[in-house]
Amino acid sequence: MNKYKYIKLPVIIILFSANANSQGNFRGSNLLEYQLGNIPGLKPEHQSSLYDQLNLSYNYKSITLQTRIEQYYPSFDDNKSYTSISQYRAKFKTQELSVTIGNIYPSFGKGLLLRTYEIPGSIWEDRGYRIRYGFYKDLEGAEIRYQLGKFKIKGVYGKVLDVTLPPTLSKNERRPDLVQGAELKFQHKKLALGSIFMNHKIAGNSDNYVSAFVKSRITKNLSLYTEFALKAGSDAELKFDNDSSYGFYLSLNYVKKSLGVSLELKDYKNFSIGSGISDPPTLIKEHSYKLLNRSTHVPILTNERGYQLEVYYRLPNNNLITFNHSIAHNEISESQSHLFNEFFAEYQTQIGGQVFANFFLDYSSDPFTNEDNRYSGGFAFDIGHNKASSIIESQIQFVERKVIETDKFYNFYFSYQFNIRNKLTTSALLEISKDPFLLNENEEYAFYPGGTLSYRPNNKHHIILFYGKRRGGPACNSGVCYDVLDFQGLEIRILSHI
Amino acid sequence: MKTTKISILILSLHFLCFMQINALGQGVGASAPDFTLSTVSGDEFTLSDHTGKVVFLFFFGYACSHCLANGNNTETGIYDAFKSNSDFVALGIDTWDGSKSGVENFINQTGITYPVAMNGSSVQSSYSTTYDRIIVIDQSGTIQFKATSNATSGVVSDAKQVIESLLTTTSTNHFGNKEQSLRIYPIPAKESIFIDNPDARIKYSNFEVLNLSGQIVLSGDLNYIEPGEAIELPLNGLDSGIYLLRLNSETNSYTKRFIITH
Repeated sequence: MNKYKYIKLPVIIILFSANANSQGNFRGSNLLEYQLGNIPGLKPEHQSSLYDQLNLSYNYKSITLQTRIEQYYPSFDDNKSYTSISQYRAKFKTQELSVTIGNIYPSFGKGLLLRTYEIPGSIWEDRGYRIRYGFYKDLEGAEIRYQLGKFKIKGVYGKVLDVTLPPTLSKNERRPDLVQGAELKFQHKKLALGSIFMNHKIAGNSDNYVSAFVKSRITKNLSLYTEFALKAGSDAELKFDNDSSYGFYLSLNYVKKSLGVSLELKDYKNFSIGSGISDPPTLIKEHSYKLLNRSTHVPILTNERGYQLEVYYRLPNNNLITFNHSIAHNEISESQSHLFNEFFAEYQTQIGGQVFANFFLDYSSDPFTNEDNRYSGGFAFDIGHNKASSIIESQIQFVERKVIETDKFYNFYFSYQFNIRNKLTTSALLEISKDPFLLNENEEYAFYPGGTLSYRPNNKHHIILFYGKRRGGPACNSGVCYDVLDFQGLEIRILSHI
Repeated sequence: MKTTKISILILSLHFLCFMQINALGQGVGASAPDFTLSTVSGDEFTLSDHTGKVVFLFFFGYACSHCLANGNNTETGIYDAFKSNSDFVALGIDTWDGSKSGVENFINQTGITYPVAMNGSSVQSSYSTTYDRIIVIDQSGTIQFKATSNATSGVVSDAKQVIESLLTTTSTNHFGNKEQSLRIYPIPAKESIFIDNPDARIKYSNFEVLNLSGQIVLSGDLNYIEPGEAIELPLNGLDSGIYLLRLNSETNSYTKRFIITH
C-alpha cells in the first residue's frame, strides 16, 4: 500500500500553477519532516511517520490568495493519517480598506481578549493522539479593516481553533469558540486611544467583553501602553466585584542613550476565555537559554497579579548588561496562594575581535509547581574562525522541589556547534537530568545525547538531520507556552521555498 | 484566467481533501468508551465496573499550569458536593503520562482527594478531548456533559448541575419497549424535527435539547405521542451541530442524538 500517495498533491499544485508567475506573484514554501523513532520508553522503539506542510500564495494587484495543505502519514496507525487543506485565505487590500476571509490571525489590543498566532516551523504532537500537525491557533472567518483619517476600525468574525485537538476531529469539536467583535482606534500624533467590543459564544453560552486602551509616546524617551478589559454583566451593565472577570495591563518603556528600562504591570482575574482564546502578555522573561526557557511560569488567568522590570545598559565595545525581575502572585483559592519570583542577570561581551561571550545567572522560586528554589547559571561563546564559526554553550540548574519530601536535583545542558560558511552546521548536544519526574525506577540519571547536521545548499533549501534523544517538556516561543514530547531516533527536516 | 484556474484547483482539492479526514469524535449522547487505568494508590479503575453510577472524569496534564490552577475547582465544586453519594464516582486522569511523583505533585498542589489515574493519554484520544477538561457519564454509560473549555469555576458549575440532575433521575436512557420504534427525523434537521412512534402511545412531560457540552439550549412541554401522529418541535434557529434530544416522563427519560445543518 502506498502510504505516501498524497504527497503528490503538492507537486500537482506546483506544476499547475507554475505559469501563474506571468501575471502576479506566486510563492510557496514546504516543510517536510520524517521521523523514525518514538517517545523514549514506548514500544515499538522505531516507528516511522511523515509530515508535510505546503504553503502557497498568489498575489495579483490588490488580491492575495493563500492556502496551506497538511498531510501526515504514520506507519503505525492508518486512523491517524490525514490529508487536508487546513487553511485558505483570500485578501483584498487597498490603502484604506482590507478584507480577509478564510483562516486568519486577528488579535484585539494586546491579546487580553483575543490573540491568535502561529509558531512558524513548529509541529504540534500530543501524547494522547500521536498525530502531528502545524502549531497555529487561527480563526476561520473574516476580518475587515478600514481607515478613515485618524480613525481605524477592525471587525472580526469567526471560529477559533483549539490547537490541542488534531485535524482528524470534526470542525465543530476543533473550533468551539465563536468570536465576533470590533476594535476602534483613534490616532492623533503620538497618542492613540482605542476601544474593543467582543461577543464570545461557546457551547450555548454567550458573553460580552469590552476593553479600552491607550498608547502614547509621552516624551521623546518614554512610551506607555495600557489596556483594561472586562466581561460585561448579564444585564449589559459593567460589573466590578469579586466575581467579575477582567484583565489589566500596563507597560512603560524608557530609553535614553545606553540605558533602557521597561516596567510592566498585570492583573488578570477570571479571564480564561473559552477554550483559551485570550492570551494576555505574560510579563515573565522568555529566555533563549534552554533550561530557563523550560522553567518558565505560565500565567494563570484565573487569578494573577504581578510585574516585570527589565533594565539594560550598553557599555563600550559591544558590552551589554541586562537585569530582569518578575513577580507573579496567584490566589487560586483560600488554600492555594502562590508567589512566583525571578531574578535574572546577563552580561554580553566581546573578547578580542573574534569571540562573543554571554554569561548569565538566574534565581527563581515557583511554589505553584512546588519548586521553591531554582538556581541557574551558564555561558555561551561564539568564536569566529576563518570562514567558519563555533558556539560552545553550557548551562546548569539546581532545583529544590518539595512534593512529599524535598527533592534536590540538577539539570545540565551542553552543546557545541560548528558552522562552515553558513552552509554546513554540525552540532553535538547533551542534557543530563536528575529530575525525579523524568526518572524511571532504578534510574539515577536521564541522559539526552544528540547530534544535528544542517545543510543549506542554496538560499531556497535547508536540510536538517537529527539523531539521538531529545528532551521535551515546556517550551515558550513568542509568548506562547506549550508542551513538547520527548523523542528518540532519527529526524529529517527539509525546508524549501518555491 | 490563470487566477481562476488556480482558484478552481484549490477549491477542487479542498473538497477532495476533506474526504481524506476521518472525523472521529465522542460527543454528548455517545457511549463512553470503556477503559482500565491504574491509579496512583495502586488500584485499578475500570469504567464499566461503575455502570449504574454517575461518573465524573477530570482530564489533566500533570505539569499543565491551568490544570494545576483548576484542579482545586473540581475538588471543591464537584467532589465535595457528591462524594457522600454512593451513586457517584470521580476520577482524575493524567493525560501527559507523567511519572508517579509527577502526578503526586499534581495531587499535592491541587488538593484533589478523589482517585487519580496515571498514563491516561490513550483515554484522552478515545474521548476526543484534551487536558483541563471535564466529562460526565450517566448511569447507563452515556456521555452527558463534555466541556470544551478549561475547568474553570464556571465550567465546574455547569458540570455540577448535570450531575445533580442525573443523580436525581431515577432511570435514564434505558430504552423501554415503547421507545424501540420511536423515530426522530429528518436527520440532519434544519428548522424543526419530528417525533413519531407508529406502534405505541407514549406520554412524556417535557423535552430538552442539549448541546455537546450537556447544556440545555431548548426545552418545552410535551404530552402524548400518538401512533402515526408526528409531533413537530421547532428548533428556534439553533446553530449547526450535534445535539441531544431528551424526552422526559415522570419516571423515565429517553435520549437520542441528532444533527442540525443549515
